[in-house]
Amino acid sequence: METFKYILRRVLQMIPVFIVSLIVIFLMMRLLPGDAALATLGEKVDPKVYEALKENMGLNASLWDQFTIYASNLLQGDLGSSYKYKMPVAELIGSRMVVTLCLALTAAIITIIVALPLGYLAGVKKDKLPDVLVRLFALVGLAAPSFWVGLVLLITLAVGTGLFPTSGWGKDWGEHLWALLLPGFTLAFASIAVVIRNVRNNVVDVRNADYVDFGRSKGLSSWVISTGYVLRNALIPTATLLALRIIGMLSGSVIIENIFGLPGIGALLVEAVTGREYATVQGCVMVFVAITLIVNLLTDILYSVLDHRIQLGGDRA
Amino acid sequence: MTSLELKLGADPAKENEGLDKPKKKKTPKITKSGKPSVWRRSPSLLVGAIMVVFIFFVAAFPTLFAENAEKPMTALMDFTAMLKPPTAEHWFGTDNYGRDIYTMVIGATRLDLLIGLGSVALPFVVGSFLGLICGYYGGKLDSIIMRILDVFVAFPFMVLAIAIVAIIGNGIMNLLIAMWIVSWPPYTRLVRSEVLVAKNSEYVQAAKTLGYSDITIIFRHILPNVISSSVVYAASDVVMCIMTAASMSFLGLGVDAATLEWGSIISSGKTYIMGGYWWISTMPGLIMIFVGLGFSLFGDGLNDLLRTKD
Repeated sequence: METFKYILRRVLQMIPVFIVSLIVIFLMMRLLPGDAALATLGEKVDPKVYEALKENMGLNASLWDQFTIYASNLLQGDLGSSYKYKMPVAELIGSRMVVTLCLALTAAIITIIVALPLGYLAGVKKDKLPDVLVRLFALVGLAAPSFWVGLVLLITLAVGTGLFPTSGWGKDWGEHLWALLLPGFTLAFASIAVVIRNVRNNVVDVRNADYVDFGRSKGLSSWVISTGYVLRNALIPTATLLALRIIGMLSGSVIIENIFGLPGIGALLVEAVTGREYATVQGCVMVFVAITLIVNLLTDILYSVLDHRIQLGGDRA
Repeated sequence: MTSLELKLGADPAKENEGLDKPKKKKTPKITKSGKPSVWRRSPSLLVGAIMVVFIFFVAAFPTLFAENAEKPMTALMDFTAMLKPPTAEHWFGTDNYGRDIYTMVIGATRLDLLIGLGSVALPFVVGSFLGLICGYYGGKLDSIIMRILDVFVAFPFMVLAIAIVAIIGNGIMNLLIAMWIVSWPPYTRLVRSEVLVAKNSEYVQAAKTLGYSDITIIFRHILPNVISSSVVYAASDVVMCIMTAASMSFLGLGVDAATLEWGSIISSGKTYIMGGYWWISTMPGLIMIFVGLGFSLFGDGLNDLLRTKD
């Protein structure tokens, strides 16, 4: 019941934040220099066509009218339509969303597969050679810019050998998967470093805890101690970190999708910003904000589910 | 305990004393007591500090590392040596105008470092200040600032930065403004949460009882005790800001293409990758890794030093 109340309160808190974000992004788009109608048509255009399009886009109305129209359309599930792609923004974002979600999922899986064992190894072998090597690897991972890592992978594995596609996303799921491997690894690169450090430090802390010593003195096998005691407790903070990394991956996807020519929502955002597509930018940012808010909420809930000592809604003053 | 930790844990009267006196006087005392010095206890701080100092040195005196680093871009063009791979003469190869990439990278160090430090400086000061005020006073003001903060963190930072640059345009100053707007919330949150704990501690209660003003309590008593996590975060934030700025330039949304910046150099090589000219886009990344390593190690070292677990 407590949990349910807490979740309800958090959701209610999220709504105003979401609405304010929408207003902020609406105003930001209207402050953009340049004219959306002009950007759609190009430089030399018949003034009549230009005026008609401007009217059609609703750009002649006052800012307040534009906003009320936008808001009422939004409530009906209408995000407007893209002039460049000649389709409703909701549909456009829906089709692009699949790519970005698959990319983030691939990156998350790669992060888990690589970072958990390495972090655990480093924690168990604290200050020995494996620990030093893994920590060095993690430091380089933090220091290397992700777009650079992407370019290096592209050059060595795609351009040089032709093993992977240099651009695009393929036609069927087999090709999709193949096309997602390099960008997925690129996106995972920074997360791997962060997660390795987190797992390592948690493992070191937990191994020093009293209850682990107690388990040992009871004569439990080292297998039981490492899986049931150390791993279980060390991974609680990591789970929430992983959830939060998804937000970082959304930021990263904007760049990575551009490097690998993936038709995701991040690439769409950059296209739409440069093309002055108000409705598309608003739609993309709305989706980004919604995902961020939901992930934050889920992270808090996850935290309390995994660790019963944490009480929800405790000290949020 | 090191001098800094002593300072952090000490009562207000002693702590002010520690602030006024130079650190030098205290350090030998500690080594005398048989505990290892700061550098010995945290090798990553030593290595990181050396690397960071070295980077500052390169930024200050680029001509010592590449003699043409301060010449204008056009003076570097050499159409007899276009797109040459790395050799002993051109360590990082040359670009499509025959410019030596190593020289360009060294020449860009100053700007990138300024972007990194400049992006962090203002959010560090303003964000920490807001955190102090929110944490200490609480109430309506705290709620308002925290709700504003919620809106800012609802945007993935790259998305917000792109939107801001799209509105105010490219260029170094605008890039900095975007970075400022994006990067203050973590400082406010870090400091606020520490102030919430610190304001109930005995030394603050004592200061209140003694009748010190709020301003004195906030800045002389609480601030030195709560700022360490912010400082540690700032060290890693410099790296993040340099990378974000370079990423923005890479997307064509940062500094304009004619300005020498690591991201824009990497970006300029994009079109030549397919032709097998791999070095334009890859070699500048090496110095970025070096800078990233330096600041990360420095931040880790500071963390070991300032925030020992109790």
